[in-house]
Amino acid sequence: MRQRLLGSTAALAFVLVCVPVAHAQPGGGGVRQPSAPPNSAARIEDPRDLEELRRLYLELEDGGRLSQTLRSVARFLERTKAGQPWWLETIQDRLELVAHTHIEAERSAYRKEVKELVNDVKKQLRLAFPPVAAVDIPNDDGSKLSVFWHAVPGAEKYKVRRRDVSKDKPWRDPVEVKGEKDSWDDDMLIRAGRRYQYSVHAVDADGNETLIGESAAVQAKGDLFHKRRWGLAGLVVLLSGTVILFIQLAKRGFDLKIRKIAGLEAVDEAVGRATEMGRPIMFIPGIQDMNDIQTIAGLTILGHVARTAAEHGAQIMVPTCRSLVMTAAQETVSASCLDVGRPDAYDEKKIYYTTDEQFGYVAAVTGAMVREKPAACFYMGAFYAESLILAETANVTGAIQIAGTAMPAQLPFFVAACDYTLIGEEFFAASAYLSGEPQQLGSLKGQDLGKIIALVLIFIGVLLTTLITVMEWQYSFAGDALDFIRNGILNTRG
Amino acid sequence: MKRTVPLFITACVGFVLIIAYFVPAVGNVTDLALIHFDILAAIAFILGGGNLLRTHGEKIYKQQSGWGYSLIALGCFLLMLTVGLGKIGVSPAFNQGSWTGLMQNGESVSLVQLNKIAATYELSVTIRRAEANSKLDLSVAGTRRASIDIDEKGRAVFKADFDADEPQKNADNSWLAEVAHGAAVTVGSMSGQLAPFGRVTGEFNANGSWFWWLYEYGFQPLQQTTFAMLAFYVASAAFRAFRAKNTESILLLGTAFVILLGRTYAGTYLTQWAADPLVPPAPDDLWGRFLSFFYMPNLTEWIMNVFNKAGNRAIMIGIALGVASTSLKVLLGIDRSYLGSDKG
Repeated sequence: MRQRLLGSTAALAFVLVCVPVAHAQPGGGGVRQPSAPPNSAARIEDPRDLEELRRLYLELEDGGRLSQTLRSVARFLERTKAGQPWWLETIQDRLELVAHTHIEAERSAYRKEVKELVNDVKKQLRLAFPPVAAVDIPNDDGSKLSVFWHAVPGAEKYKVRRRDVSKDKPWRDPVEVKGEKDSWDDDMLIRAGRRYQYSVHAVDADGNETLIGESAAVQAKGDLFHKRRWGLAGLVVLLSGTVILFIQLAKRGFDLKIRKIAGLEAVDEAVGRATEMGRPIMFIPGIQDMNDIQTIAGLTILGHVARTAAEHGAQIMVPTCRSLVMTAAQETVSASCLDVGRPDAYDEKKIYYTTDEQFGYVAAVTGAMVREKPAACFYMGAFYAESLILAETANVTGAIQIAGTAMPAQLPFFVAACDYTLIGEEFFAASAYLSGEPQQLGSLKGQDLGKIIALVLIFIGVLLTTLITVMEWQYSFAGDALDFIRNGILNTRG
Repeated sequence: MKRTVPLFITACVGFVLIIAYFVPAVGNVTDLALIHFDILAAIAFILGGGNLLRTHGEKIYKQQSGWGYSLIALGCFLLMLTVGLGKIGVSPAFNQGSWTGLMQNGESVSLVQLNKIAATYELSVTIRRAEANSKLDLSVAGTRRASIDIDEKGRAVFKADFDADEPQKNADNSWLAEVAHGAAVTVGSMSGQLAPFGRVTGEFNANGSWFWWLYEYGFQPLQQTTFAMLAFYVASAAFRAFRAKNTESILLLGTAFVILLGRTYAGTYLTQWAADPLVPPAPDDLWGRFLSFFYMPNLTEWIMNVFNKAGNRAIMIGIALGVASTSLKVLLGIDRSYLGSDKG
């Protein structure tokens, strides 16, 4: 069975490698001439077509998914009768030649030709705009409009005026757009639902103004869904769904196995040590405020540590860097003491605010460490450069140290200096691990499924990138697929 | 109720923010939420400040061990609070404009304000009480500039503006750009002087203010000193942690050695035989390209860009999933430990 599998994989690899190589034409196929000259473009007037035109123009400027964008442009021009896509076949030919030519000089020549042809396409699209066109910018809350105009040679700047057509208001004072620009994005006090009209004047060096034109009225629209983020929305729903699914399964008694996390198993040991030595425990919930999820995760662990400390009769000190964190920590520790029936163990003075300044906080905490000599130190939250100072100082005092953070840059310092470190997601798993509640443990399983999804995406992405790099397939289906993963699903372009 | 209301607020706000990312029509809720949080945090500072005063004050009062440090801490806190709130040593913001304050003569009351925003000057004359249906002359620096009509209620508002960037527009008001602070202004029989708005308009930490001075020359050097000590802490941590006990630790030690050396000039100096940084090897010079791999900066970059980056990204994927899962549990109310006890 294994041999059959290896054989099939080898055959597939042979096909993937050799077929494109066999199709490669040594020395290129020669430069082909364009089949027809460009036609003059009809002007687009329909607002939806103008939005589509703007989108295609910006995608061409962006340069990603070139083959697919060019096909979309060709379909658009044919549908709106705004021009004949004579260049489509030519550019596709050039892209094929770039992919299959192995001589660098020729490949560069073809790439340069593609770039020039794409510039011609952009010029053709520009001509399809009316002299002045206003377009609603998509994927916004209706507070932005885009204005395009035909650039005038010799113009030093352009004056763009706007009028609220819905309220029949007069023209506003102009906005100056300096330089050789032919578009401008307006986000000044635009209200969704209202219709606006623009006029553009070209101004030469002597200050003479020439009217280029007035646009048709355009309505500023807020979109109900961000069309570029649907892939990301799908991914969010999928990942959230897996977490919720496993939480529900756990509630129904599904058996969940979670591996041991050494740092969390050592919490009881550390608290016990502090009790035996008669020295306090110091808990540091990071230096960020309550709006950081790491601080919330840290306070969750504080609740458990405080509970254990109250049971054993150990003292806990919590110096905080933020006022809100101080109040939350006080509430957490007092609730933990109450939970185990030891309200007398709660000492409000031990949970105190020092300063918001990073190194001022570090100085205060290290001073407290040297004076109080805690037997156990917990660092659970977001840390920056102060992490090593805290860890080393506590090491000098002989404390057992358990750290947990989701700051990748600080993890090496904690790993080097502390006895136990919760790395990244172990830190977030601590709440579920320590509570032992089935529905919280279920969320950990959901995370694992999320990791598998991430692995699959990584594998596909690596495979595609390797094929594109080795086989020069950036303009083929592989290039489009990779672009879809990057921008459609992972939304790297924003 | 004590737990239900916070859970409800958490869930509502959290889901609205998530939805706002995908539904543009909702508007910029994220920035609004952050502003609200900043306001809450600023108010919460009163609790933190109060706690600080109480903790250190008690220590000083009871003369507990280390009360001298508490005295210094409290003294510095109060000093910075005083010079900051009081804006001691802060210059008025001349570039924001000036006003006369209320001008009175008998029953007549008026106010003149000159605003300056970037290159735009705007004069505003507000007559709150004057003889109805009359005219009052406005004079600035001894020159009559306008005649203001008073309405039947004895009120009037007069405005004049001038943009220095567009001098041809409203050119008649170009005198506004030349009005100096302290200029005499008369409206009818009422007179006054244009004075800057005062220290209120200056920034508390503007250059030259006491707050700025204390922060730049008192606090910053101490902060940088503490930061500089990190180098020694790194050395001591590295000495303790990097021991050749087994295969993994030998690999760790070797890598740490290469990276540490590669980040200093010593690494460049010791391996300059391997490559010339100014003249990279030719693409067909296989031996040169092989040797250049051992040039310390190149080796360091390769380790950081290949191994370290891969490990870093793996950790970040795990962190991202952990954050998503924890946030979901908090929003759905499954994880409530940050709120305190379940009981009572």
